[in-house]
Amino acid sequence: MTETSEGSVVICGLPASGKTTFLAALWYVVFDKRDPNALLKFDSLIGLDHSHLNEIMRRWLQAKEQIHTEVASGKMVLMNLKDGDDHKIRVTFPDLSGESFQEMWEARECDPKLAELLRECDGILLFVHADKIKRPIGVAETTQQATGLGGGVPATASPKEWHPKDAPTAVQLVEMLQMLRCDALQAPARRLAVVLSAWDKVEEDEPNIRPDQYLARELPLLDQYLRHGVDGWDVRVYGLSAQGGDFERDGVTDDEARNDSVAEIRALDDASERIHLMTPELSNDLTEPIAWLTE
Amino acid sequence: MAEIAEIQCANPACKVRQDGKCVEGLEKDKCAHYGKPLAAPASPSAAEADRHGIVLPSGDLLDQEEASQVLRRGVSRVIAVVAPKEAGKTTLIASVFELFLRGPIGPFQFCGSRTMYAFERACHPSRGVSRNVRPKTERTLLTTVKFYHAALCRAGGPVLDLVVADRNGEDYGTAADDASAVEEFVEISRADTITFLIDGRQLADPVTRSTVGSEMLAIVQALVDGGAIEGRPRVALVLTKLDDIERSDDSERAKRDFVKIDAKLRELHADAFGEIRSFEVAACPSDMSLPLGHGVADLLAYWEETAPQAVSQPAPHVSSPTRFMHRLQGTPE
Repeated sequence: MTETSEGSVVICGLPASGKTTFLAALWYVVFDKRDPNALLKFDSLIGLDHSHLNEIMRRWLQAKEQIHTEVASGKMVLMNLKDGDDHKIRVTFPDLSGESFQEMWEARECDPKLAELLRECDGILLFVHADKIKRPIGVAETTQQATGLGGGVPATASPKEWHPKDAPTAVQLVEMLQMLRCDALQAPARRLAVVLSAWDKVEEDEPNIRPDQYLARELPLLDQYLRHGVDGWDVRVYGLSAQGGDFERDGVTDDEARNDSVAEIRALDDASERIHLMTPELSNDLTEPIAWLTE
Repeated sequence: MAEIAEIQCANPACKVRQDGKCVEGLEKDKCAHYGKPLAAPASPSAAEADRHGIVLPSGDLLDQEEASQVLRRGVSRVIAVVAPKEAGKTTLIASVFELFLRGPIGPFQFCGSRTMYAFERACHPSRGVSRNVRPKTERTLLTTVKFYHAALCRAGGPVLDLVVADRNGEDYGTAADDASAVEEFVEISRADTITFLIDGRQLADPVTRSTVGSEMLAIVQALVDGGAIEGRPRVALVLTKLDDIERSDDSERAKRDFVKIDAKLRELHADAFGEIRSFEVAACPSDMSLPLGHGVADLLAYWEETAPQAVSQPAPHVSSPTRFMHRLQGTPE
């Protein structure tokens, strides 16, 4: 078999957007399970000891929340997958912590290694935690909410200085995508897969909503930009539940709902059953967005 | 002189060290900035010395050259927003971005912005996270004109670059006393639409209601007399802070006063402008009696409209790249 070509996908996302859980589940699907039904198969791992990935996979299999491992604190993960025609696809997690992406918004600079990856990639996989979207809330809304709760806003509350980290999620994401097109980066990628992680949280309340509908409602600035912006993105929106529910949190034992969720997840015969990918059709093949980005 | 030399003020726009006057018109013991070291501007450039990565666009307000670059790339509109200090200039401009964060504005979709960092900073005092009790926008503290940018479109339509000028309200107020000051107002001569703001809060206040209109008309007169008005631009006369008027004891009187100001503007200056239209806006209401950005969609649609052909020596909207730059930079063509 010969390698006919190589594609490249970079995994992006702000802190706590679901990248590490995705990597743990992906490692299970393509390496541990060697799922024959996955569109992409494992080829090789570069620049990282398997033990780190095995550790986050172990926690994922045991339904325990990830902790800040060495991997999550900045080490780059580079994995080679291959499709049915043996085309090699390089999947890079430049920064699982997400701090480099936050720095792009806050400090207006990009890590040179990340910049190099972005300049060479064919597709971007952008993670957004569906249950942790920071929305803009006006003073009038805040005051009304406080009044409704019988509290009111204390007149002596000292105003808080502006910091860019306070920016709504949509603002940070749109700016990150705009920056990929700036002269300093000139990322050539056209395809963008937006992955709304923790999709099970959305489905609990709205079992029939599609990921693209949710994005349009919850992140309207990003939705407008992706549909009408001048940067020419070819977009697909996915909903991903890579855990299947709440995981065990270190030190927390008295949360009954969480304990029930953990027990349910652990009772599944096959760990891959906990993976739900809405494409918008239901799938449990985590490699599908990567395959689309590089097809 | 020794005393003067020791005077310090945290406000970078204040010249109290030179002229002994507080730029905000306050007694020195009442000014929060007086006596404090000069504050570094809240700008990403402050961290430039510590940079170790690849420098990305600042996202801050555009200078004239940067604005010219945006104008060169396609269909565009330049909007000047004119008012004395604290009339709500920055609040109005920032409300366009704040509304796009919540969805399309009427028929308009958000396509992007080169000044998202600046928009976010301007929106902060009106957000709950600021812990302000009522919405505010930081006063504009600029030493020269700067520009916000937003790209927008109608569904299926071309992208329009909206470039909105912001400058210190004091600069416009000074022009009323010295018409020669308008020579520096490059945004006025380049504007497709000049937006004059009438402060609704002051119009509802019995003490200030009589002076609000005359102050604005004096600024308009200075712009006309100083030669800043070129090519009969369109005018939006905007009553801001409508929620303050609605809450006031005599809201009808305030609205009648606004109609009188509108009539006076037309009577005195109709010939100078291609069109004059009035609007009522509550860009960031203090309560929920009016929706956020009340009236902004109509104003945005007016800003989008194509300027009518000027009677004499019209300024073509798209011409040579150098012309745009020269006009914004105020150099002769």
